[in-house]
Amino acid sequence: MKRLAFFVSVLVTFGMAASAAPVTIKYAFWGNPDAIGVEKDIIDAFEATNPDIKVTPVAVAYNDYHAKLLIMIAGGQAPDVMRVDSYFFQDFMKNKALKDITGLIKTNKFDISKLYSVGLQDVQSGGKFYGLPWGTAPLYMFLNKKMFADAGIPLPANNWTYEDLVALSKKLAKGEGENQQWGFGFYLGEINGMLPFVWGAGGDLFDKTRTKFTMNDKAVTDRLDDVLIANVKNNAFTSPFTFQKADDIMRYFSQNKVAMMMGSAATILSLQKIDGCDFAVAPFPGTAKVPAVTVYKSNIVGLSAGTKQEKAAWKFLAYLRGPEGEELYMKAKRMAPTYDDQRYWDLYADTTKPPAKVKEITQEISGKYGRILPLRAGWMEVQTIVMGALQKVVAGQATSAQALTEIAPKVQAVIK
Amino acid sequence: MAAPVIPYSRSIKRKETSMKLSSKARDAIAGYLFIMPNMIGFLLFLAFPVVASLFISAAEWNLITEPIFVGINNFIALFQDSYFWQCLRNTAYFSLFSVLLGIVTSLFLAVLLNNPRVGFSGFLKSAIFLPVIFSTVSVALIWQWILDTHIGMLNHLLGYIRLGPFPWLTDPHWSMPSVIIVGVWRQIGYNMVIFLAALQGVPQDLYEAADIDGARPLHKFWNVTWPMISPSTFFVLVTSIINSFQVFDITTVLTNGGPANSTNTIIMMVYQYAFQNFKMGYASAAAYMLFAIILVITAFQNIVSKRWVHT
Repeated sequence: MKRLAFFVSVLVTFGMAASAAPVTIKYAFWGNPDAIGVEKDIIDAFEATNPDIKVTPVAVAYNDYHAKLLIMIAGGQAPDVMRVDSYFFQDFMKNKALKDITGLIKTNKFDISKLYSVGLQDVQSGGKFYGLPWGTAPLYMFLNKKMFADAGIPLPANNWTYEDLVALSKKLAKGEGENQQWGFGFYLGEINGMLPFVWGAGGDLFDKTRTKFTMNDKAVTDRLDDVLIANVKNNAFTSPFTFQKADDIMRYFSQNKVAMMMGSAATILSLQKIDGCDFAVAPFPGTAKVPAVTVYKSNIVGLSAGTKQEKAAWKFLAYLRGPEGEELYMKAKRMAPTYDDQRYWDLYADTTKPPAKVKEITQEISGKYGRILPLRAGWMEVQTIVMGALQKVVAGQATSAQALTEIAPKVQAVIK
Repeated sequence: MAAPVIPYSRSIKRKETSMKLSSKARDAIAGYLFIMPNMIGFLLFLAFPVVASLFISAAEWNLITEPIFVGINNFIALFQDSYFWQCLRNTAYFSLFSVLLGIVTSLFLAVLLNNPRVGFSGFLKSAIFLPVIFSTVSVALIWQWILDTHIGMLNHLLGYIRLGPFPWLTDPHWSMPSVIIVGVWRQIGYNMVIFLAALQGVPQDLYEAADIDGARPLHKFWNVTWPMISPSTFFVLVTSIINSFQVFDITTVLTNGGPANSTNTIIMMVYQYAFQNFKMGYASAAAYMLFAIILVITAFQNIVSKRWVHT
């Protein structure tokens, strides 16, 4: 009898301990060691106010991140909360890896009204929310104010056109050898950098249903030939082979050798660190018919479709992407504001340094000039194929029409 | 103190067990136990993935959903894929020139540094071997700066003799030769050490006999040195070809496969399909194609080696 009483008391003790033990959830994100520190700070702040939830960070370098995430999901080890680059969002959606959180947003009255509207588009599929946006920002056009001033040319208005870009580039390009200057810093990195030219020519990567490859339309290929061959050849634009990375262009921009370039919100922070670098940001030049050609991109933080800790995972997600989490991210300058709020811009960028009125311009781009990418499953594979074809054009091995028509069946096979 | 008393039945049992295992068997068990940790690693991390990827190559699989059996469709698609052929051409280009240049250069350096009349040979050997122990990524990054068209040291130096600037990494015609140079520079130290060891193993009396016969240095090299070091040359050739077909790190960091895919290799293609496009079946098929190519080349080398490798 004594033994039985002892066992019962042990079971009760363990049972009580188990019920008091915090719920553990896994949160996966990408980042370098600095970024991991920021996430740890956010997790610590969350755990301090939510002692019943313990968050285990799963940090992976960006290049391997999505593959490792998929392997974790395939192995039944999916993190409860995960960040996904919007490029992969549709692939994750197609494979039912993310949870529909529309109901959770409504039930918990999570305020999405202050999030940039373009960012919200990137986290939806079929009208349902599969995550919350993380770092919603456009790809700005950076204007080197010193080079414009030296040439006696005023900065372009926000409603400028592609023709203006070419004309300005030709005026600003000059010199040879070590003294050479270029009007526009053009490089072939990701498809993002090409789409403003495609959109400006009235075309797109896919048709409206995103099931047909349309980048080989004549208007588009004519524009691309102009961009890739004519303006590179006459040195108005930099050669994407000579300047292969965004960093190369940024270096020349900061040294007043490139007058205009495309860049992200993170580029603003990098340039602000360079003494004497005076610049402005603007939307990408469009046309009167198609003004919205500035790429606007967000990433997603969502819940795993198979999470067994939905309540705890949602609580953490709401904190992470709510005002508290956003403020901590902004203080750490980890990503551009996802909320349309001056306060966050003040924390993110040094408002005493250029560019002036970044928040206002961002707001204007979001409302008038911004356009989200036509993302779909297989995006990365399509990008590899298209960029390979465009490199052939730059190398003079084919015209845009030839190169893009040649790859059309292959792209079509990917998006079938 | 009295010895512990073992019950009669237990002592008999022990005796029987020890008698059952011969000393040979016991040695064998001990041997297997010693190799077991490595064997487990080999089976788990090499043999199993190799076999598994053969099955995956016959499937369409994106890591999340169930694999769909597609038979040899991935291989058929691969043969029709111009990107695959381009990557294969690039790999063959890299392999051919890096192996040839690598062997010729390292053999030349080994012969040179094996000569006792050459000064500072210890320092030179260390200097040539150093790139082997450096991290490939850091080596590639340094070379990226050296070969930069605008601010690179190489073009700067060539400028003094009014040459260049050359678009080392930014022109499709120059990019692969540049990658080959970096690859060779990195590899020659390792090959040189093997050749040096082989050269030092050549019996001196053969050279003395050649001297008596009045052989000149070049004759001595072709008729004495070359045949005697041929097993090492064969080893260097086989390993260099296998390594060159698997080139990935240098091209990834130095050029990322560009410009215009001119330095994209098969392993880079496998990586892109597997871990960027999540087409594991297609990537496995490409990996098996590479395996088959290396197997055929190595088998061919083995057959041909009987004609020129001294045994």
